[in-house]
Amino acid sequence: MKKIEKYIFIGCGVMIVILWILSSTDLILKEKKTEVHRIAVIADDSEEADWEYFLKGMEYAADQYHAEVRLLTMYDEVSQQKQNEIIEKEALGDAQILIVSPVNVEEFQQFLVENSLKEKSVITLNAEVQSDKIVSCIYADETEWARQLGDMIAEKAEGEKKAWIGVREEKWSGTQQFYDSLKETLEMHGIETVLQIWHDERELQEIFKREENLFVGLDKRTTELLAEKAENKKKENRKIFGNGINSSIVHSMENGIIEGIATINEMDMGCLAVANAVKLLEGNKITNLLIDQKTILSEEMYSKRYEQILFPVF
Amino acid sequence: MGKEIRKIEKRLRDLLKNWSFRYVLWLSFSLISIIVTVAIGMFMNFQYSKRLDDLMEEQLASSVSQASVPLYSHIRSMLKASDALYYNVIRSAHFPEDSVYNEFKLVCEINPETIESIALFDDKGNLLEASPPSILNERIDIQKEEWFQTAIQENENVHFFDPKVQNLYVVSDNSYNWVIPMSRAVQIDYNGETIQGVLLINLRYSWIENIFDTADLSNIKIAMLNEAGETIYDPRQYLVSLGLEKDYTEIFQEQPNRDGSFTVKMDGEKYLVSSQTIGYTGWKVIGIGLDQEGTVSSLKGRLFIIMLFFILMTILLILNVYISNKICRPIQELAVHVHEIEEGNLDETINVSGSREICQLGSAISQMKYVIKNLMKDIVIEYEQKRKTELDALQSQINPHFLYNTLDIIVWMIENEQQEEAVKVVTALGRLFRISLSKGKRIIPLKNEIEHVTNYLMIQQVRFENKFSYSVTMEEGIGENATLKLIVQPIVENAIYHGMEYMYGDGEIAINVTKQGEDILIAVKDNGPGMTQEMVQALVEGKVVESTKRGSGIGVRNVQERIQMQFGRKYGLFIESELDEGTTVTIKIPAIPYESWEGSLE
Repeated sequence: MKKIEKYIFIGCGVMIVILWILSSTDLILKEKKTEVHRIAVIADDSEEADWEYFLKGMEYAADQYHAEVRLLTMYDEVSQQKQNEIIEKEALGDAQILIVSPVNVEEFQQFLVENSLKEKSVITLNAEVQSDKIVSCIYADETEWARQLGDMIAEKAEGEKKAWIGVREEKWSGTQQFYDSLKETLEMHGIETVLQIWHDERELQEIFKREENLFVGLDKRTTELLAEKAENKKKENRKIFGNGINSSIVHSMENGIIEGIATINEMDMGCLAVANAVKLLEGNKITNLLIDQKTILSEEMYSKRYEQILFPVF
Repeated sequence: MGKEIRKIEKRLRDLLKNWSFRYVLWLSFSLISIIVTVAIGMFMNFQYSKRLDDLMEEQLASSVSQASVPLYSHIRSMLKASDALYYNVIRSAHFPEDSVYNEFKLVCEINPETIESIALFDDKGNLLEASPPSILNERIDIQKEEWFQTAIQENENVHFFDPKVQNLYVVSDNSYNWVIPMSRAVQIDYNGETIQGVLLINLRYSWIENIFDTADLSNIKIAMLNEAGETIYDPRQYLVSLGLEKDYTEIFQEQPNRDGSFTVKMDGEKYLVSSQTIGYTGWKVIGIGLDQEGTVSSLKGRLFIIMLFFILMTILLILNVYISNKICRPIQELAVHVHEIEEGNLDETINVSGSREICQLGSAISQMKYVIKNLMKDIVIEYEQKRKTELDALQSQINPHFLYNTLDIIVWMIENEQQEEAVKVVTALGRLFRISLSKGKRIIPLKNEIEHVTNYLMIQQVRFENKFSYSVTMEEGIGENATLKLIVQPIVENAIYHGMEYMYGDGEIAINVTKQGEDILIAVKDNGPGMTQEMVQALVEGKVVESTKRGSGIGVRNVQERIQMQFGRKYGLFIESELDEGTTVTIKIPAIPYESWEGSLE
């Protein structure tokens, strides 16, 4: 056998081995296996009900992207310290990535500096946080969001001079910026604001005995309570506005108790948060996402434009 | 063009000249094997791709049917239910006295998975009957609802609308449902008057989801569009709206009115589309097949086929080596034999195996070799004969100068009254001629050859005026051995002309004949100027041309040639010489008695 023939046969042999490895083994070419990613979502709340729409989006994305997602809320006390404990516990556990809605942005930032979180990545919700551990922030422009709500209130409550604005104590730190912008907008429209940071629901017992006709809930629970109480004590010219969305608020809007709300599409946020987390776990690069806010009046809630936000099909 | 082809042909021919027959054969077989394998491979690849497309088409059509057939069947059932409610229930009822609630309830109960609610409205949008019983949502103006307006305006048909949230009725809890409204205009007997009303059947959206869930596959995207091409159902619609998934329904918009299976090219990619219109509704169930060829399993399948062809090609190449070796080995062996013959080795035995034609060729070459060998043998014999004749003719000649000089000496002797010396010389000359002639024999007794040379020496001594002396001795009893005629005299002649010419009486030439074993050695020794080794070598190889003018004309090489031609290569002349010392030329011949040779040798 000549040298060239030997080389040809050796070449053929090598090619056959390479082709066999490529075609019949998983050493080089691999079928993409459906990997279940474990994601922990840590809420800034003790009530899961506030995360109802977010959960819909989160569960939908978890189903589509084969992820195992769990939502963790705080038990009783809502504080950054309590949230940090949950974050630490989850970081040590089997969660591959953490999605966190911080209670207090500054304290959370400090926590990230002090804690390695076992090098696990963090996606933040509702806040833009600067840290090397944060891979993406999904948030809305709260100043603009509050401004739009203020404009809507001013338009619908023409002639009103005073507005009561209520917020649950544990939500106050996360809504201060929102409040400032809302206050500024309302004052611009000539509406004075009265802020009440409540701790106990009983504090709102006599709420409708107040002189104001205009009531604004800065958080979902406050809006819900206002709607609940208003249903029992109906009054012609009383107007309730809210911030955020859940089925109780939507129901109250359907019944005409709540005049309008300002919200982001929370289902979108839930879906995008999980989709971004999965993307990152699959080795893709992700960036910050700015979610649009909407103001929805009760009379236009069945329009195609808002139908999907208020009544998600899934 | 023709010129170019001829150039290529010439190059190819030149190239082929440098390649062995086996290599050309192997290369040709291999090229054919590769071309055939690649052609079959390409054909199979084409078939594989076609089969993948066919499979995808089948799968697509099956998925689309899986969704459209039950959908169509349900739609028909709903139409029948609507017809039954209208023609058998509503038209025979007298409102507001009669109630059709039980019939509505019955239809709802028969189709719990399909029907959400049934309601009957008069032309003002007032609710006449509903199942399940419901309170109208005050915030909804029924007359402004699309399903109501369309039913009133186009009262001949049953109308289906896009999915929407059920908002007509007040719900006690926070739940909500998505429905597909189906409405038709109906004639109602109200207080004895016939008025127009609208029958609304809200179909559950979840019913469509359930149908599509069974038909959806990973490589097939199934969706349902309305007449305007807007999506009614797509499991990925939400992801599409967020920009997380590609909107595959756009592919269908390329040919929106087409039914059946067809291919659409978009953004450089090929998609297989299957579409089926659902009767009565104008809805279309579309299936879009994603490219299977880019998947890892498809790529692996292709690579596996390529591997099989590589294995096949390698086996063919190995077989080609074996076959070309099998064919070419006998030819190569034959070529080696022919080369040997070409080199002159005619004793080479030709053993050729292989096919019949090769054996025939080998046999013919073998035959030819024998013929050539015989012819050459004949030529050699003929040549030797001719040469012998030439040498014999040469040896029989006496240099005329020698004869003239000898006769001149004899005349001079007679004139000077040296009769005795003259008689000696004449006698010696006579004997010289007699032995030279020897009746034409080539072989003579050794004693005659020695006598001949003695006579020659005697004449030359006289001629050279006693410049040298000579002695001849021969061992007892070896004179009767046979020798070639005139082999010593040329050696002696050389000794005289080259060794004695410039001697002044002190020259010596000694001839000593002895027997050594089975050989006779005739040594001619002189004390002349001698020769260098180079000269001796040149003399033996015949490179030195001897002067023949003064000598007998029979040179040393002639003697060597004759002895070897007669007795073989181990016999001949052996020269030893040293400058200023002298030269000894020994003639070696076999000791063969003259009697046993006489006749047989001649």
